[in-house]
Amino acid sequence: MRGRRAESALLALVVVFVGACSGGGRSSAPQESTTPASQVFTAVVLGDAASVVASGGGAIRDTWPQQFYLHALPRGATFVNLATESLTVDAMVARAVPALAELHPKVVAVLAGMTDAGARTATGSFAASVRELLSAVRATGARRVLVATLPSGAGAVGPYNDIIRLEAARSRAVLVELSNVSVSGVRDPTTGGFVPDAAGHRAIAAAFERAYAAAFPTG
Amino acid sequence: MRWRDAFGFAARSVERRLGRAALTVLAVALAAALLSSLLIAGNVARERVLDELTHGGPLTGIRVDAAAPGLGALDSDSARLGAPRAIDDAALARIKRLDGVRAVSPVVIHPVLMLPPDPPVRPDAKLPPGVSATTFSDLNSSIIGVDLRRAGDVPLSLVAGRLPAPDATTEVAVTLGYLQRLGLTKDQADAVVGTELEYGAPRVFRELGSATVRGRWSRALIVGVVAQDTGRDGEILAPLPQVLAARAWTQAGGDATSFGVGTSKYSALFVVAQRLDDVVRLRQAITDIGYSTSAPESLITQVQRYVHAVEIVLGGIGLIALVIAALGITNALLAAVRERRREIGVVKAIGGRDRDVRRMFLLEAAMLGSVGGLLGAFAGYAIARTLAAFVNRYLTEQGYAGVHVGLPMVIVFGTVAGAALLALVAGTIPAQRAARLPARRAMGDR
Repeated sequence: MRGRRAESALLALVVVFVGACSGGGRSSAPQESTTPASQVFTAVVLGDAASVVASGGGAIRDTWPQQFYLHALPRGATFVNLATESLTVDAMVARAVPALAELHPKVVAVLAGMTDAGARTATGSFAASVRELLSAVRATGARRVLVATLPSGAGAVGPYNDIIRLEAARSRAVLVELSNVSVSGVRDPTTGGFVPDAAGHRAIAAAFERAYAAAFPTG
Repeated sequence: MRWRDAFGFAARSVERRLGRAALTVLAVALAAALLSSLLIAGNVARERVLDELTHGGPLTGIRVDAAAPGLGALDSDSARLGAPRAIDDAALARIKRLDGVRAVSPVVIHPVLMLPPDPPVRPDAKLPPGVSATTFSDLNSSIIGVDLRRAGDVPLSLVAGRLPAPDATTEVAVTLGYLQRLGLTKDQADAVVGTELEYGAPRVFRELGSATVRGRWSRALIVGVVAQDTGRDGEILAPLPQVLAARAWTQAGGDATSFGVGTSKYSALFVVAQRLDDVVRLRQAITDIGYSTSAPESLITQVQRYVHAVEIVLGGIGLIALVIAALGITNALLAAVRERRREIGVVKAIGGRDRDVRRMFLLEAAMLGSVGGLLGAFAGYAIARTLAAFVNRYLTEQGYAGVHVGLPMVIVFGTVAGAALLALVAGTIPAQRAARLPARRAMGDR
């Protein structure tokens, strides 16, 4: 009887010992992480000087495209800013559309026409260019297209905004109304176009974010 | 006599003389604790020293650069690079087929612009008084892509958090260089885990005659902080597919050399040899294929020799203590033989053979030795952990990472088995004396 008790005690000791030993390690193994396929896509911004680095020596992170990407789009999205300074919509069709076709974006955000407004491009020519641009964007397979009107601070933008509203509706793009948004900035002395400052970029980004969230609540 | 009966006799003998048995077990346990704590300490020291040398990578690791071997490349542990030479999948497969290769891990290092999170640390992170993380304006950085399914095959060691999942598109780890740019130290690494950064791979676009650099931006959650030694600075560590996508974007521009990106698919390979002895031969074979290699095998071999010598000395000290404790077992069993002469006589009178009596005493010795060894192994582990706590406090004060004391099964089982074996040897003389005791004399002495 006593011997059996001693055997049991020894067995219990061994069990405790083995248990303690097996729990001694630590694991740094990576965990599984999958991003939903619907959140993995490319987003592109088309624009002119108003969509690149802010006036007054701003930083990349202060530009409205970068803020729109950061706050409105899911983490799985990749983003390319195809905006170029001093670009009229007509030039944008020639320069940016080939790159756009290669990227096959799902989301395209357009803020075009500041340079045209500054250079007083003829409205007929502007309308044709905007139509061509939006057709080219749709041709790339982009499913979410956002087009912004021009802020009132950019000068006499009324006729241009009418054209933008019309073409946005025609191409079933989401209209981002900037004409009633206070966008601060300066006029580019070389092109006459409007270049927002950091606060202006924030205001534009907020308008795009609101419009995107309203049109695509699933993100 | 069956083994079970012999074990019962031995257990009863221990129970009857519990005080003496407890003292004997205590002596063995103390000696075993000394032996195991010294060996665990030696083991931890060896792992730490080699980990520092290999930066968390395997001991038999060889770095292969995307360059031809320079003059005297094999005479040195460090790389002597010749002209650039692309590493592609064919070269990787060729190296993988070499005899003695255990694994080959490709590494891609790519230039990016990085936007650190704003604020750069988690809002709930507690930094020491007077310490604040400051963001940086120079956005130039590099991203390192590694096949994280084989993270153990590259020189990486985790400082905080965890490694990104091998196929994650939105997870990265950052390196100590990133912390340094934020003005943080290694022990504040946890503060950046859980923040999100943006990185952009550059590409030259030639549009209507003018060249414009555009970034392909990605966002990623920082899930960990690592120390890395891939041979070049890099502040972001990402799963290989993420970095290959960034590289493909840059190379598609056709003018990737302006960013320091060559035509090589991989920036480097980490080859793991099966044994340390294979490293020299493999370096020669890879050099013959046409690539520059580097490996700290000479240094590692020397350090291993020194550390092994220290381990022998430490083990010897513990073993001496264990031998002294074993003599205690001999003494206790000799006393038991004297006291149990009548019992031995009865066993022999009812047909017990010499070997049955010998077995009883040897079992008793083995029980004392193994229980003492077991307790000693645990106590040794506890002592090593306590010592490590003091050492860690010192290391932290000096700005180093602490040591982690694991429970090495080889040492634990070795200590228990060694103590049991020594006890068996120590019990041989008393067991032999008991076995040779004639039954009549054993009974008559009462």
